[in-house]
Amino acid sequence: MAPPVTDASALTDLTRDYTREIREATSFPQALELGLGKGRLAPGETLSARSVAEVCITLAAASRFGGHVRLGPAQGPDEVGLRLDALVGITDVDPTSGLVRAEAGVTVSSLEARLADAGLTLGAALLATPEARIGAAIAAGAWPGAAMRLEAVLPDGTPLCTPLAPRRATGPDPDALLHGLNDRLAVLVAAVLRLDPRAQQSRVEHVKGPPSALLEAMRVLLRDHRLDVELSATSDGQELTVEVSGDDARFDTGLALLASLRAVGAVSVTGGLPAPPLGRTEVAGWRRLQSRVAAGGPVWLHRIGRHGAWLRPGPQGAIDDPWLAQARAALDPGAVLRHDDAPLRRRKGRAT
Amino acid sequence: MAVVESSEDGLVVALRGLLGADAVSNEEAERRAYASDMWPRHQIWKMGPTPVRHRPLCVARPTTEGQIQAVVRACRAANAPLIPYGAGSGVCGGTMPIRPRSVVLDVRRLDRLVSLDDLDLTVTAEAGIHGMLFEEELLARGYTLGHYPSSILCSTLGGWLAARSAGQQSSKYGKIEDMVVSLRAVLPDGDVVETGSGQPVDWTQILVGSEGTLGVVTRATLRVHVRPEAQVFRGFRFRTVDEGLHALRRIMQAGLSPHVARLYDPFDTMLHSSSKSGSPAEEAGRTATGPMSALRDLFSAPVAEVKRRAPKAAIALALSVPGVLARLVEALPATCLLILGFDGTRSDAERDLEAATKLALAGGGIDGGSGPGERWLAHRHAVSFKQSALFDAGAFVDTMEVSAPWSRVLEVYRGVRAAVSPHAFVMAHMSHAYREGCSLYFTFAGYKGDAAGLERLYDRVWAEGLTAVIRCGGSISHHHGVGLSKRDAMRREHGAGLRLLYSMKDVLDPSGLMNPGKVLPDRAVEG
Repeated sequence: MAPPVTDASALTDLTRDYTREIREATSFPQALELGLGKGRLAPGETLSARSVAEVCITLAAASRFGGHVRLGPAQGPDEVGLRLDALVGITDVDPTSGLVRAEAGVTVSSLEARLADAGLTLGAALLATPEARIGAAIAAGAWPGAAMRLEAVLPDGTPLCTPLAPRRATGPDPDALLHGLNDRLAVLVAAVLRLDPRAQQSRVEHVKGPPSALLEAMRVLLRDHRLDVELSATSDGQELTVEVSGDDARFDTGLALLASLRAVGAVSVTGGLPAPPLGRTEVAGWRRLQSRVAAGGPVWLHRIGRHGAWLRPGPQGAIDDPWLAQARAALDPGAVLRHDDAPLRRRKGRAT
Repeated sequence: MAVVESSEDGLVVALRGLLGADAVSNEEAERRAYASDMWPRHQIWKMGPTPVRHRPLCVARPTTEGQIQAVVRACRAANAPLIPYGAGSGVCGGTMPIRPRSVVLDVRRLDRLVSLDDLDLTVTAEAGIHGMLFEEELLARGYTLGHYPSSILCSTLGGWLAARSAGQQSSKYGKIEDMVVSLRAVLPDGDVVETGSGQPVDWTQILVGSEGTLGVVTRATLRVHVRPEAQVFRGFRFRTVDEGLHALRRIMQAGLSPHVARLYDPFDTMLHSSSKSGSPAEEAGRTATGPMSALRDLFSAPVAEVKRRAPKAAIALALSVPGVLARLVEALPATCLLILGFDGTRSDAERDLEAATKLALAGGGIDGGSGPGERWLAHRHAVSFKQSALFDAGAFVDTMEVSAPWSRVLEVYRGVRAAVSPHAFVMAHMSHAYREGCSLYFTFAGYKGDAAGLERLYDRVWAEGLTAVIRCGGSISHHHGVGLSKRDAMRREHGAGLRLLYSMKDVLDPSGLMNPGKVLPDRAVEG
């Protein structure tokens, strides 16, 4: 089997000591200068990191000298701002395994363009937000299960990679402490994403109709049968628009689904679905989907399957979980990392 | 009743007060019975002068979640380690009571199927429910979990969740962590947590796989499927492992979802030989004599047959020269067997099998008909009960289940074989296939004349095998978990990511009383 196409020079070197450049420093400004180069970054300024190494060095310098790093523009003289938009490396395309490693600043659309030559695609659910950046989307809780590995930098500047395996049984899943946590425990810098084969010729159909009836028709069909098509939908509170897409040569199951939907009042429409909001995505069962659609307001559904779908917008609010706060205190005792977003709240408290 | 000195322990008295006298046992026989799971290293100890090295203080058998809370709080107050226990089918030492005054918490009395949701297609059940009884109850109601680990006759739902279990149909239905929607657990402080959607942190996936180190899972909600109307099988023979892997990958990446997908290497293929099949390798396997015959019988024949047909001397001779054996196997006119199965409505299953057959034949496969799959189905749960034959012969056998992306699978296969072959006989099959990769399931057997030497050999095989897995780009466990056997390899598996897991342990179990010494390596060594 062909090995993955790799630009090794751009990969995170987990064995490297990113603090070696700042070993001789005696202050935060000096550490930034020694690590990143003269004039590149000073307290009160914002760095657009060009490599994962720069993220590691910035955090290590702050951690060692009591500085702070804000993910976003700097807001005070005791901190530096850190932006990841310039981390745009696509360093590992593995067509054999259907995987790609992309850095945090890569957009969905640019990654999809790069994958075309390899005959691969990110799939409709990710392509629904073409301008989304990989790191921000995963940190915000979008795309559950879409990444097979996450790469992040701990608040003291240490880089980490979660294991690269299709499935594993090596303890709790560390990805769960990175996905959707808005970089609370570590700064997400890259991800290895799962890909689908790109269809030779794809077909897309849209129908629109009463939300509850269409959802029920999809549930009933999916309960017993497998479909070779991908299903997405959006509701504006009044009507549900369903998108059926897939390989033209294997669209027969899609046609069966469309027939079921038309039988309960769906009519064909043209045009695509509007882009969903980027953010937390809930993996929801059918009861939850029905109740959310019935409640009105816009909702987006992707990867509709036998047991439900991705539901967006997902739970709002954010991370003010007491356990998470304790874990954060242990991993970041100097409170190096600062965030702009509002604290999150846990929806369900403990029962006793 | 053989009461030992520990009967005086105040914790035992306290637990009896909480659960009732019948629900707490410190009888010597029970303490020995709960001294280990099915970890083969423990079987080696049984050959030596110290067969039982650790015993729990007692075994507690609660019947409700409230009683579990009470036990957890009592152990915490007494500073006693607590080890959640299912049916003891683990093979990594995950339930071994290695610390003094450990209390084993057997949850098998929490065994109810709580509810079935026909709309969402989910089932909620208590953690102690027996695997096969759970599935049979679902089948009787017209559903399936689709989870058939080879240990299904001797394992529980809680054990599956603790170790991230995989069933033989995982290529379609996923592993247990793919099936679980939410769960309830008693935390180390005695509180109960309920996980599920709507929370910013996916606590379900933190507790799943924690092997009792973060709490005691008491119930879970899992996705089920309508009971399939039909299942169909087809076997194919490939000239090489590489060719078979290529075909299997193509099938998985074509969007097909076989419920069974198993590719056997040449020797493992030989074990599937039967009088009705006629490939050269299978014929060679049947007619092999001497050490090869002993080895074949060792892995494939019933225990009584092994004792009759493969005397200890032949087994010792065969396994004393693993390198020679490996070369003998490589010299066989080898083929690799791929078994594919599809289930669902009959039309869906047959349509998918036809599509997969086209890909297999295009990849160089030779159609072997439905026989290999049907034979596998008939004996699918037999493996777990065959271990004792090899240990009776003074040898060890163990399995190492790892996983890798497709681009690394062949490298891992070759790397582990090269690392282990000088020390033990090794064979493998690849099952649990996914779009991005698959699991590699190595079976290895070794022999030394004495128990101490056998234990050293066993440890060396594991150390070199796991090192090869990591060096070649694989993950050290796919579905058996970590326990004690892979704990020290976790540093290389997770690297600095281990600090995330330590942080969770510190938050949830600051006293370190939940199944101590398992899963996470000692931080003092970490530095």
